Amino acid sequence: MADEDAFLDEVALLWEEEGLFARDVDGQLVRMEKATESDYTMDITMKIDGQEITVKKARPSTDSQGNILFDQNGRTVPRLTTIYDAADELFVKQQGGTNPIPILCHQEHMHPAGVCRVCSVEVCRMKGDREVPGGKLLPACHHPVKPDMIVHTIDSPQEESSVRMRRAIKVLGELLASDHLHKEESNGVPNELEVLTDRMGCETKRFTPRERHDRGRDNSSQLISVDHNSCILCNRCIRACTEIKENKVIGRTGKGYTATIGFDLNNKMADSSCVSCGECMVSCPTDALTFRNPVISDWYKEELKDPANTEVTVEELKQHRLFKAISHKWLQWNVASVIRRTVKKGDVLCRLGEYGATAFILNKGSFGVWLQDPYAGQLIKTRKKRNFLQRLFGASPRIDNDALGRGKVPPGDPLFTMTPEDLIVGEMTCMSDQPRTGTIAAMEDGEIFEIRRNVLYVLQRNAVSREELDSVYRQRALFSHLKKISLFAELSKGEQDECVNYLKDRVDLIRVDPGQNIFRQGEAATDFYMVRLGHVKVHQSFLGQEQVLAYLRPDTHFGEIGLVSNFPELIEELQKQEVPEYLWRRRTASCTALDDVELVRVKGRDFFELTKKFPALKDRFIEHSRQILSTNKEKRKKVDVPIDEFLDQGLFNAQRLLVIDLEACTRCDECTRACADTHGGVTRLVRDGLRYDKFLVASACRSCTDPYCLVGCPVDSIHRDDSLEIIIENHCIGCGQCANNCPYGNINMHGMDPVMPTVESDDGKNKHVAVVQQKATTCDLCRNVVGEGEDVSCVYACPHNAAFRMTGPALFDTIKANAN
Amino acid sequence: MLVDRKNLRMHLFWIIIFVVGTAASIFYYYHEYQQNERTPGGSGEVGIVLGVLGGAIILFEFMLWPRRFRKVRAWRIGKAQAWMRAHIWLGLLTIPLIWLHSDFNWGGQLSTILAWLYIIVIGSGVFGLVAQNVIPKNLLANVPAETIFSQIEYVSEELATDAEKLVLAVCGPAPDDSDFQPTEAVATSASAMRPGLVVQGFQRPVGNAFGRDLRFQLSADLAGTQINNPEALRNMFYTTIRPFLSEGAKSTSPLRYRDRSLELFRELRARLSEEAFPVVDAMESWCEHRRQFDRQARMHRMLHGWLAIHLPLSMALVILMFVHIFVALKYW
Repeated sequence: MADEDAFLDEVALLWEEEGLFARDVDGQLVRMEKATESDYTMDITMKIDGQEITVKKARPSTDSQGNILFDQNGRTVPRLTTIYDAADELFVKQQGGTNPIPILCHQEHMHPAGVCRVCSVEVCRMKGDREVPGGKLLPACHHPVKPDMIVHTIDSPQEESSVRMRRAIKVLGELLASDHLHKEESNGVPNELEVLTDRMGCETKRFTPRERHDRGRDNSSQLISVDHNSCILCNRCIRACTEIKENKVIGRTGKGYTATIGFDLNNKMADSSCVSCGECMVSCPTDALTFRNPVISDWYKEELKDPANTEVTVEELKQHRLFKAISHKWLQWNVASVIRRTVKKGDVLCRLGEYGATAFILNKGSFGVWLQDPYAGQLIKTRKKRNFLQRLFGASPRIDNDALGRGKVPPGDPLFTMTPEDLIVGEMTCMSDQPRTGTIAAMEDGEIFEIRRNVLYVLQRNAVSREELDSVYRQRALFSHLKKISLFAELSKGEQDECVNYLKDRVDLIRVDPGQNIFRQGEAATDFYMVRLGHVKVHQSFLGQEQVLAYLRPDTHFGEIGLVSNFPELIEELQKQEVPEYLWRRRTASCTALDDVELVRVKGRDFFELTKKFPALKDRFIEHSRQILSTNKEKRKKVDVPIDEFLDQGLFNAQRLLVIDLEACTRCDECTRACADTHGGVTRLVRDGLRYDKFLVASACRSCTDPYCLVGCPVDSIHRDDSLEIIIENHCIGCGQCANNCPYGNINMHGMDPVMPTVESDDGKNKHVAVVQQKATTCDLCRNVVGEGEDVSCVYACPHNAAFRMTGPALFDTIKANAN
Repeated sequence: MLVDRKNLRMHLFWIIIFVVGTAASIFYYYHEYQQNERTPGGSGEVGIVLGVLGGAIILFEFMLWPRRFRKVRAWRIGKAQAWMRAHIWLGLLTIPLIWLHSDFNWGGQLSTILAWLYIIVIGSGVFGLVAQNVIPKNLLANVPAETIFSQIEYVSEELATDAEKLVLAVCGPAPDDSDFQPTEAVATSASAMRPGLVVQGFQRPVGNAFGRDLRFQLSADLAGTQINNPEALRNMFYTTIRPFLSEGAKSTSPLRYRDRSLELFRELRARLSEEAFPVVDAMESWCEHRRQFDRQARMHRMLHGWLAIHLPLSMALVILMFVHIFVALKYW
């Protein structure tokens, strides 16, 4: 028995020690065992502070936004579930819930570094009926969960453990605070280290601060101040720069007491390759990295001119459960991304079909949602008629502002109303970069917080907020899609409602990444799909050659051929089109996502039930399948326009391509000059790029349906307002994220007038250091010069009728028409 | 501007104006001639009416010129192509108007100079119109490597540098006593030996495609090619290929001619082992690009060169037209 105990002790010790086959986590000091895919299914039951929880042994690795990461083979990358993850799952069930394990060097959206040990917990094991504490405290941020583990945190009901933990963490806090917490220099807002010391009841005076070795300051950057004396070397900034933004500018330098963070080869921040994205600063738990001025956008200034809008303080925001998880510093820096709007009955928050860059958090009142709005699209319909001369000289039709339905509430009752319990509205446009799917108006006086995309972006870093936002999004996306899909257009109003009611609880929203296969040719047909967002490529292997048959846009559907191929009505067509019998009830082609695709999936059995309940739909599916089968056969015989090249160049995604007919273009560059003249001498287009047939697709913003450039701007300076064009506001900090994101190279970084900040030199004197400043520029469809839908300067100035703005599909149709 | 069957509809209004205007002016002239049984002359009623009309149109034609100024270009005073259509067809309409106004005489010295100026301006304009209908199609068909005209020298230098990097990677550094040392651009280039990609070319990726011509992207595998006679390649590169890539048609290189180029590269291949052929192919392809750039430059000059005559002479024509009006009124 004694031997067995000794053996068990050894095993238990191994739990606490690093595993035999442990490995570094992305170059960090911590070492973790490698997880395998089989760990996804393994349940681990453990106790934290006396409460039992069962978690999976491993979970897929995610990026900072919670998106699951895939390896080169398209498989998820498992990582072991940590004690901190388990505690999060157990205690943080809703917004603002508190994890009993304090953290300092760790953040939920980062890989653990394990350098501060503030997250230490006591891990016990059962010896008979008795809990025996482990030999040492373990860091919860990276220590994996084990079966039957008993964990005690500072809030443990077991007083002995709780006191032990508090004492240990308190000492850590006091040691850190004595050297790095300079309350006298703080801006009055407690930083994370201060919050921790307050939480643990640390006495900062208990330890005499180490004889201060001045590690210096760096004030060279226009955006961020660096105080090396406040730095606790937690590596958060390094991970923010390296893992999250992948700029890889910050590292550690020096040894012992002189160790600091360094930029590039220990340059001044302004002299380094730092792009000033601010990610390091918002990640810093102390005052080592602080912003100089909050970001104030033109939008904020404009909105505040309206007396109904007022500013919101960080403290007020922190009271709201959605903002509790966002760091104080981030909110301070981006406080101008939120305004409070007092709304009156009948105020329209947003209009169906318009683009937008804001969402609305509902505080008071009730708000109606209309999915049909006769005033939507009035901009296009209400153009003044042009006289003969205006038409002769190609003057653009002006919008008749008097006839617009701006600000009018749609007639009739709203489809449904929303209250503060629904938390947020208008988030779908911000999250998907698609036009508004409905008009929202106040049904009574109320109050909202209008927030910009970067706030939503940072909210998604927190698992609970992310889950809540995601569930709201899915529910609304499915409902609005089913309500609007043209598939049901042939049904009567009553049948449509019945159909939506039948499907709404039976469909799933599926997200597919670019390049991912939805199904492959020859696979058994199980489901039917409707495209909600994005584009899907349909391709077929025929006689050993892969041929692209078509690409599908939003509001189309696919996958029905395999399902209906056993219907007697279609069998004859299948035989006629020489579809081999083994392919019946199977996929006749493969479908692959071209960009970020959202699909509404109807399972096979529900699909058949649907066709039984609504014979009109069945007929439509059969007719559609028949048409596709016969067109596919035609396409195999004759290839007229190279569709694969069209898809490779991403043209399907474009809504305002600048296309130049090279047969008509005399290369006079009037388009480029006109663009430069309209934009203060800086052209937004380059008359070069890829060719498609006889057309040159010039390097100018394409106004993509799925604009990658909008993703991840730290200060939301790039966005769409109510219309199609991409706008880069003046508060751009020049980090280049949008330029890197644009797959077509259509965003350029332009150097601005150099500003000469003053910095303190080594000899104590002030000197000027030149700082390279840049801002992103892109084609804004001449929004300051022309109204929506009017000819932009490049097209207007072309004397040879060679420059056009058109959608990608329109270009395809033009080429197809020319070919025939 | 294209004036062909496909674009006829766009020009239809102005064609009608041209035809009707021409017919009306001829009818007017002929009517006067019939009534008076003598030619109406430039100072008669018909001559003055046609002259005023022609002069007014010439002034209108001249209005296209200020549109090229920075501030005017952004004005919303009608689409440039609408102005251009009016410019073409009203310009052509001045031919019968001015001809009938002149009463088929050259007149005095001033009128003769004016007439010649007019003929040259109209001739250069018609040449320009024909060039605009022919050369862009030619460029599209024969210069697939076309780039922006003003960037030709820059892009060519990039090509030469890329080619040199490849030669350096394949042949290795030249012996110290060799005449063929790397140029400064390559010697100081950090990417000269960049792993993964030796030559990237000047085109950037668009969507999933990379540039218009994938030959610009050469992998490091090619850089690792072992060749049997590096001196032959290095010699030809520094004496013949590089000067041609940098200077193009301005050089005296035989590579300016496709036939000679084929022959030279065939000879080079004969002196190298088969492993080096992809490198030679790349060089040959770049030389072809350079030839295309030269062809593009020639065509570009033809396409825009006529403006050097058309614009200043138009200005002179307008000035002399006012002198002509002044003289005509003074001595009428």
